[in-house]
Amino acid sequence: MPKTLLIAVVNLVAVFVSSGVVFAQVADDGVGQGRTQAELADPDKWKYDPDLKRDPWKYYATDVPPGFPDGDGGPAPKRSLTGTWHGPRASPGVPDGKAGDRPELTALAQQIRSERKTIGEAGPGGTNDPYGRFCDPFGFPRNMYQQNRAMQVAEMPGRIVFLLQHGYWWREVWLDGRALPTNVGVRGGVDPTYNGYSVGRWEDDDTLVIETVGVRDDKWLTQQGLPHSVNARFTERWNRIDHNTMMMEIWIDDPAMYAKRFSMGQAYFKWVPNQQLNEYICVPSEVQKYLTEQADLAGSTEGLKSQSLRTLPSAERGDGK
Amino acid sequence: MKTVKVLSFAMVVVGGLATGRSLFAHHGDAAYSTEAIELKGAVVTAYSWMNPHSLIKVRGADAKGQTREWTLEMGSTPSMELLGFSRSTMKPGDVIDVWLYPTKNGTPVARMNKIRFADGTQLFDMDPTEPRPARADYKE
Repeated sequence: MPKTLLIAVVNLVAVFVSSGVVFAQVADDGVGQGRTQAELADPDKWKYDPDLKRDPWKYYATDVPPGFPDGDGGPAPKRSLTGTWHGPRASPGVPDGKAGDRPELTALAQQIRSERKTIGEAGPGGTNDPYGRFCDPFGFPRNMYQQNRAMQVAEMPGRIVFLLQHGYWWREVWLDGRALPTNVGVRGGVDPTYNGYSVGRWEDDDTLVIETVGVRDDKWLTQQGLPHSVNARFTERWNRIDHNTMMMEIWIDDPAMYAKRFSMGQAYFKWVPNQQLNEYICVPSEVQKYLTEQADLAGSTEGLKSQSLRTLPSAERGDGK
Repeated sequence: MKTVKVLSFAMVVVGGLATGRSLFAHHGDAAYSTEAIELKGAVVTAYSWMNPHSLIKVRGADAKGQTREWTLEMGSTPSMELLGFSRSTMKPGDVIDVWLYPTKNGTPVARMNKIRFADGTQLFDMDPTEPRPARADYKE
């Protein structure tokens, strides 16, 4: 099959898929996923293909990504999360995970929450979210859920690092058997940080369990404005389902703020080799410019009906009518 | 090998890449009216390619002949790159036709909807061929 035709077919299928057709049946002829048997067996299939004639440094929305993966990719490699991943809401190809549990807030947590105005409630002109107003880092675990649409994971001796596209933030998890600090925030101890202190262990070949303590309490737990204390303890489970799929779930145990331990929800990640992660950095001077020249003038949206201009009926989209 | 197999991932990923890789929606649009205003022959006075939202400032007259300088927000740089924008898309002094959704409170700020350049090319706030989002991806 000529390459141009191949690309056209794959793009056409992509359009169907993005329109909601998630499953497609293909004949057992080895070409069902846009590749011949020979191409499927090619050990270099993940490499950049110069015949696509695309600039590898520039992303085009209608391009076939070079080296897109085939099916589930087969069995997961043992004890590895290494790769480039699509995260929650990155595309229709990333399934929604189970929503988090409804937390039971203590009186202290309710008081703190009542003082917070989220960007969803008040818009950028009315929020007091430290990220929305000042580009303060999300910190863990908010950075693993919100806007985490693209992420790379790299393993190295004794640790694993998560490299997040959003904010160009990263966190590290020690796998060398060390214990968590027990003296966070006390004189002579270690200070709480945005990502805290994390240690992990492989529960089995497909499951990495991470424990985290020592996370700063002056940031928000979620974009909904939930708080946590400096003594919060987080348990995070990564399940490598197959080569191309993994799922994360994080629980928080924080008696000062919540009556009982609860799950913050599941998030799926899909393998995308060769993906160029375009840069997203929240720059404080830029957000100040945006707020001063735009959002603060537009004002708070508290009490206004929620809407999205980009979900208006199709006749109204893009034509300005 | 099975006679029929279900494929989804490769196509789904490609579909995702084709339609919405890394869309960075920052907030909803409750501050803005859904009635668009058109400015023909507006002059770009500033263009700030930045996050969380790029800004365009234009001076132009609406259909009623009222001339104002507007500040228009659009998406983040990664999301607008997917729609064909870049840091070099326009510069002060360029003349454009622009459609915008003004604020409900009357201040001269708005959400950009569509731009038509002097050579006839058009860029949109979203891909007009894209199916309507199935999920609340644009709300944060």
